[in-house]
Amino acid sequence: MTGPAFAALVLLPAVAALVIWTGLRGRLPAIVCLAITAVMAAVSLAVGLEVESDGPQSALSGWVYVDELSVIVLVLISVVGLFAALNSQSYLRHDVGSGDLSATDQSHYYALFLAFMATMAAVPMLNNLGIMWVAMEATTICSVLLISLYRTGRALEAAWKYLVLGSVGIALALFGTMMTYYAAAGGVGETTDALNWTRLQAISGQLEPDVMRLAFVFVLIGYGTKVGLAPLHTWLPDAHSQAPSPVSGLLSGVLLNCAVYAILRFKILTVATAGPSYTDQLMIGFGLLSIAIAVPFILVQHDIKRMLAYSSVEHMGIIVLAVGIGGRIALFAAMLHLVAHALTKSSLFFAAGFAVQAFGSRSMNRMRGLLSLAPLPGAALLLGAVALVGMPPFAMFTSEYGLLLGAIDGGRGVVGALGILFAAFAAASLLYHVITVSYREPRPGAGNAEVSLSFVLSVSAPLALLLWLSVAPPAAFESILNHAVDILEVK
Amino acid sequence: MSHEFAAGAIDILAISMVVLAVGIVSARSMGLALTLFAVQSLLLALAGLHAGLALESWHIVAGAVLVTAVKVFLAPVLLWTLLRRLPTSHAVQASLSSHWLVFLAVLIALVTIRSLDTRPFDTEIGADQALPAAVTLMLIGMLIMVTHRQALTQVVGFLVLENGMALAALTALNGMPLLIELGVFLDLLLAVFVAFVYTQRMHVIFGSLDTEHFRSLRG
Repeated sequence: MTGPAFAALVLLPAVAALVIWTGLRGRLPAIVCLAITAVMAAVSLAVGLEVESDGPQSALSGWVYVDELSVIVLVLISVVGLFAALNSQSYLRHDVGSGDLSATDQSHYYALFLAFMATMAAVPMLNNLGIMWVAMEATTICSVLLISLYRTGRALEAAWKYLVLGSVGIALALFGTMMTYYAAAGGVGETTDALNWTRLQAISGQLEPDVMRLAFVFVLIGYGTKVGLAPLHTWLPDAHSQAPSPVSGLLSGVLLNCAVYAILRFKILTVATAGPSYTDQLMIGFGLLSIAIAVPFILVQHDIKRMLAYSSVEHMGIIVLAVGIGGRIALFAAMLHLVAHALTKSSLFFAAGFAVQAFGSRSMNRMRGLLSLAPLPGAALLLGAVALVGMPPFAMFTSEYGLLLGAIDGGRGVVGALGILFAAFAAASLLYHVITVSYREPRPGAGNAEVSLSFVLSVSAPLALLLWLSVAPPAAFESILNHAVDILEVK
Repeated sequence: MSHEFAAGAIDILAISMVVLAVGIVSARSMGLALTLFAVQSLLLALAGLHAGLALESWHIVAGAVLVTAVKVFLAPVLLWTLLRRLPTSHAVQASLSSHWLVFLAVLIALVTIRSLDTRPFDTEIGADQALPAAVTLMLIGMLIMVTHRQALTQVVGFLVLENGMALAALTALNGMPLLIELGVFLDLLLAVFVAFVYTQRMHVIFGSLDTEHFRSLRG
């Protein structure tokens, strides 16, 4: 059923986006968006279960290929997408009510939201690494338009930086993809499917090592810009903080995963032909730097959404570091961290978005007393932060512990310890800010906003899901993660 | 077409593209920079045409046709329209003087061409200068993006970078499959269109195209 699934996950939202953009106004776009993201979530879960029981699936004469690694990314995209669509309902109602956005803006928002979902879902489903690049660049274009939805100077600044830096980065990734094609064309001939993952993987031992090493550098720097790896992360806090909050949740929660996924595919090929030490060292370097660089920015941050965005830089660093460390334990930790971060960070951005609207400011100084003024969003923010900093019983505790364990096991204990140390500093800084926001005396005359059912669902469902996966993970979830590790672990 | 003839022609075209890039770096008006870019794209299309005919590879020829459509006509015309519509000064503002920029661009060209060992990339046609020139173009494109302050010239810088990549793809790396090439050009066109919209919005909000206004998001 992978073929019809591709239609439901990519073509359906794309067509709906077009329909909404060209004519639908009023309440309809919101309903259509919610319905389609619900269908996407259901279909992707069905695909996930199918891959879990029957192994990798391919369809449309090999253009679509879904294995355990891609299914993790795919299910996260559609499930977090559904939560973001839920959150959009109350978020946009507030902004349209307050006059920050017009009714047309609202329709455009839902159209772009669905287009963004379609392009993201295409990335892990496409077999061809060249066409995957096209989908990845399309995610940039859709998301950049969402960021500039508010026609302010700041939103324009964030969007411009994202567009320019993102385009340069992704152009470098294209160069890396072209080199991979060059390396592969010798083995499989110059055909369109020479860049198909399934073919590349089959001949990965025969690719020219020098060319693949060079290709990997370009891919790592290129897609790494999109992941927000330091020092290429400068656009990320701007873009993720200026976007409408439901979109911030999508950007941080799942778009970053798409870019990590792309790097992983090329990493597997490079390791197969040129050995692991080269890619490992590069990924450890970028990973450590990303974790370390986020610490001071989180510590001195006033803007709640920028703080969460810097925390995304840190967590992407943790994932890349764990992949660089390698070995079964660390790779499993990386996959688990990817899942846990997507669920936690999206919920946090939704809760932060509520606070920003309620207080009319992004500044955490003004948000004091959130827990007493708005108990439910306040509790979601606090609980999300506790999960994010890696406290048990949440999965991030397991994954960060796994990173350290894997590092010691693989003789890279110092690297692992450094990573966890920086992550602990970042965690302490983030928790300090969130506790201040939650418990300090509220300022007189602090604002308030209505808590709607869709909002409550959108912040609590990801956390409940995370708790479930952390405390009593279903067998299918563990099996998928283990198979993804099998794919990542090149023998 | 013989391989030797094609290789010679591609080498000359590639080096001419680098010379034009140096011209774009130091151009003092945005209109001139755009014109030079359009000419550069035309040379790129010709280089692709030579490679495609010599190798009898029709997807490379099709790539050259796409380059002509998108980079010689569509993108420059779009940016030209923008330039006409905006009543601001069309003089280029860069954070370095044009003498320094020329010096840096030539330095980049010399260092890249000297140091780039093309051994793993023995081209089928034998155009030795194509890959070094391509990398030089990519670096000069980045130089333009870093040093030029106006939004529009930053876009031109990105397009020069893109030309470098396309040169590498068409001449040194045997092109890309046509389907992917189509997708790449579609994305490129969309990105330029978004930049077009943003530049107009920028003019409405700030009254100029100077990215120096983009300094409010820090820390």
